[in-house]
Amino acid sequence: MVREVLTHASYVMDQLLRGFVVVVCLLAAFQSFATIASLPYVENLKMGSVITFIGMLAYVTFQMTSLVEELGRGEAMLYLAHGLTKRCYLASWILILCVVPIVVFVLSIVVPIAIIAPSLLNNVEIPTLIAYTVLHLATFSSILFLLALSKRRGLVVALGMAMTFLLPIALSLATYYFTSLAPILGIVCPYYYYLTYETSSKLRICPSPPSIGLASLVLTMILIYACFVKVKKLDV
Amino acid sequence: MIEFVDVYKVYKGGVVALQGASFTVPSGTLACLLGPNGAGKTTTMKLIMGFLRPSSGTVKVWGLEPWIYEKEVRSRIGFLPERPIYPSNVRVYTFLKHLANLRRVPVSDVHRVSKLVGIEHLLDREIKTLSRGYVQRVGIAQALLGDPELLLLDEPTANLDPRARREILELVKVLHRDLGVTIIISSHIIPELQEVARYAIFIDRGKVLDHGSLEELARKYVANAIYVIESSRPRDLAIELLKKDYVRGIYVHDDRVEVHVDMDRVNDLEEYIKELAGRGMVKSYSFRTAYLGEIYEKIVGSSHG
Repeated sequence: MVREVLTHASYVMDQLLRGFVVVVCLLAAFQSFATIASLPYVENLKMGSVITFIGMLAYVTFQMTSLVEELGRGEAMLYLAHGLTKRCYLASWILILCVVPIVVFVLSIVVPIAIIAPSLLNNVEIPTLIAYTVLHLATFSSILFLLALSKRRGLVVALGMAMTFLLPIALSLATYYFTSLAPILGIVCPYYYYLTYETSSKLRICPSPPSIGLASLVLTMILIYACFVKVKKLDV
Repeated sequence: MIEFVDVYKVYKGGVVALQGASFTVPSGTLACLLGPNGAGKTTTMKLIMGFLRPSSGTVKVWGLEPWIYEKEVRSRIGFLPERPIYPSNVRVYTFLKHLANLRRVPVSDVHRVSKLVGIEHLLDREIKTLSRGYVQRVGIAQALLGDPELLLLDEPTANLDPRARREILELVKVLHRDLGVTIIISSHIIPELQEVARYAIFIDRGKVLDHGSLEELARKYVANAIYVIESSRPRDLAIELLKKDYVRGIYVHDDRVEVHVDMDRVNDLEEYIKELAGRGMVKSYSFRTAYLGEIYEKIVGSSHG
């Protein structure tokens, strides 16, 4: 199973999503410079990484449409006819559109720090920051995967863009005007919630970021499970 | 080899694609799945591949349920989907090599199948630069990877010009003859299936109307059997045959004589042909499958009547 997933994922990245790899690497390079520029202040790094992070989310949304199109036009059937199960097929796309961006993003933070100021890696805030970004990307992409499997391109793009650009604004507004709503929004955007919680005293009455992170993790696991159930039933 | 027992397939929204479909396809045959657009042909193909789960009933391929044993079943089937979009910017070789990797067959198989379908000179070309006929050949090449025991061709000649259509049909005939592989072709174009098929499944609005070898179906539905006799003296042969009261029609094409005969008198005709062969008037003869169109009309007519 692992072999099939890796084989198909590398083919898709090599042949179909070359642009995706280039853009992810460019974002990673930008983030690396941002990381270097913000050192040794972790607060600057937290805020500085938001720009790259938003870029990463937007680009994952954009590329998620490739999956929708491949399913819609019957191309997926060509691969499934050759021993790739539907679940392996989905797993290979998760690897490309979720795991690869996460790994690249994390490396773009960790590698520059490890080279320039390795002692900073012992600072608990760096792993915390990484943990929330990873969780946020995972939740974000698992929601989009579930939508992509319904083959609705417009919905994927609309919700992806809304979660990328509107959710931070909605979270800020909720923090000031509907505070009780903020943790609910935080479950689908744990990184934004973490940053808002760190900077706004209004959220002190709300659940802490680790609690929201845990809820987010549970939601992600449920969504990924739902994706694998849905893909098995999918008419390709 | 393939067995459908009372299969229903209902899609979301209540669209009924198959209603109690039951049929079998024996191994080694070249079968056609014949029916109008929307009859349920593609759904049938997808059920055989295990892409879909039947709503009720049983689908078995080599005794295995494809939905459950998807990998085992698919590894033995070559499938040409109906009008798939191929990755346009990918080279033919890269595409076939990837599919060979997924199927765990050696890359040398890419060259074998490319040669077989006549695209070995196009391996370095991007798929988007190929004509429709050649793209369809790429589709057949991918279906042949790994020497499948069963080949499913869903509308293989759809959207092709007449020349490409003929080439693809010739290719199908050659593959069946040389590789001995079981082939199921779905189509709604009767004349082209007439040329290749020896077994038929007639399907209409999700219902399997009948199935069987063309000989069996002809005996069941059609009054006349057709024999094709090769002769060095076709006109003399035609005159001899016309003397028999059970002969319903004779057509001479070059050195071949096509004889239409009452279905219940085929044994008499065969004996007479042997007698004529003894007199040196017959080189060879064969029982020709009945006209699919005629059988189709009768079956559809009886189901609607």
